[in-house]
Amino acid sequence: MIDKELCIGCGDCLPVCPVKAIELKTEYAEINEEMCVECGVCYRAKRCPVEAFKQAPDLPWPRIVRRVFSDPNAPHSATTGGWGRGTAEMKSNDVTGRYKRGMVGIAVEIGRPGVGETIRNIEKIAAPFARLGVEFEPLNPLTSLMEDTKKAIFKEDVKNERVLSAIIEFLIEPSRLQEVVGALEESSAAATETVFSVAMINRVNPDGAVPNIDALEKLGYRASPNAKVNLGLGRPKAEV
Amino acid sequence: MTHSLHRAGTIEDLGCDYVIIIRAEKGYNQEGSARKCKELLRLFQKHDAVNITGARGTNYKGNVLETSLDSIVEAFKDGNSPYCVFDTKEKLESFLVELKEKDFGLSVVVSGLYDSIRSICDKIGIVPHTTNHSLGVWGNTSLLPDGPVLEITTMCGHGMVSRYLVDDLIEKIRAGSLSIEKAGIELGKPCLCGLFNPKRAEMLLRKLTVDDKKERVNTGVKGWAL
Repeated sequence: MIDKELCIGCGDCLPVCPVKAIELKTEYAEINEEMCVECGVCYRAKRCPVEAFKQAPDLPWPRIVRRVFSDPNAPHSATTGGWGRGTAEMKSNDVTGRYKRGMVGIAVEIGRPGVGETIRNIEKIAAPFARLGVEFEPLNPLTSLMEDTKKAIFKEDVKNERVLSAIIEFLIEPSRLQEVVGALEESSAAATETVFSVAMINRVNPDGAVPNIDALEKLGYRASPNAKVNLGLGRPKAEV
Repeated sequence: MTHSLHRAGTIEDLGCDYVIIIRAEKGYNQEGSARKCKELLRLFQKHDAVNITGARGTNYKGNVLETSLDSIVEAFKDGNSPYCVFDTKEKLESFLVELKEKDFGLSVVVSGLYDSIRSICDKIGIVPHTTNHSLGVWGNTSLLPDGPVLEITTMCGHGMVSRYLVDDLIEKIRAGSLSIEKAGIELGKPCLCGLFNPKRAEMLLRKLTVDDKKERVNTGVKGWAL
């Protein structure tokens, strides 16, 4: 929040907000509470010459949903207890063995890059994947906000909350890649007010080849030239 | 989460941008990992990383663009993950050679051009375990900023670097009140995880402030679909 008594209306704080939620009124700056995702960037930026930015140590439910999905330094204390917008996914797959050979991990990060979205609209974007009958990752904090994880229906009290981004995670068999691409196109059409970034996770073949990249190209899509690569140096080694 | 993936850019631009994430997993190898992680943070510095940090919550001290490495190292506890960025393939290779020799037993993730990472792995005898490839940005992509601005903002996967801050600093550079080098560092300060590459930001800011706008690169990020 901005202390109106302290604010001198210089406007220096406006550019730091990733979602343009700080507005300059006649004499002071004000945060648009509906657009704000509680990421804390404005508070940490320390750009304000009179230190008018204050950050509430605790936010009530459901407002706290905004902070835990938008501020990387805020844990999901009320739900999974973890950090961030998804899970550790493949970062420690060499020891956890979560992504096994013969399976494909899909991660759909809604609101990224830098746009944000409400949980109400995230529900619309998640619906096509629910119709595929996938199991949403139970340890993912977004899944923990669902009332019905089979249909991707979210709890009513969180639907008006806006977050910088949140991730849907699930596993599929490679034979279902075409269905997933179809669901992505459907979700893309539903994402009229936001964007989403998609990731595909694969356990590397024993010969070093990455599976499913060719299959994706045959469907008319391609992976980016840059990737995250788990080097397999962790121990104890998972049997996958 | 996928905070080091989805960095927009051309092959040329991405060739100077390699992120390292070290992970000690609860229930597997997290106990006593702080000592190894502290050594790794020093190793990042030895190999001339352009940004370093990792701890979270009450242990968070900032990234090296705004605080000292000593304070980051001192605050590190079991369960915290060291992160850094290298701005050349050569630095990445020299780091990985020493990392392999030291054999910390923690999970190591490298983000960057897959072909470059793969060639280094082949050279030093590492077989990658798992990959995570971006399939691009979907939805209403008209909401995204132009190529180089998007390249800068996507270097913080959590979206802490505002596109409006990029615009603001560009104005200051053009007005002569801020150097490109200082702007690159300023842009990296909001990135809590220290994955922002200030050297790459400098290069992109030069394109945005010196080159003719017609020469702006097309990142291709809106169209990974063929």
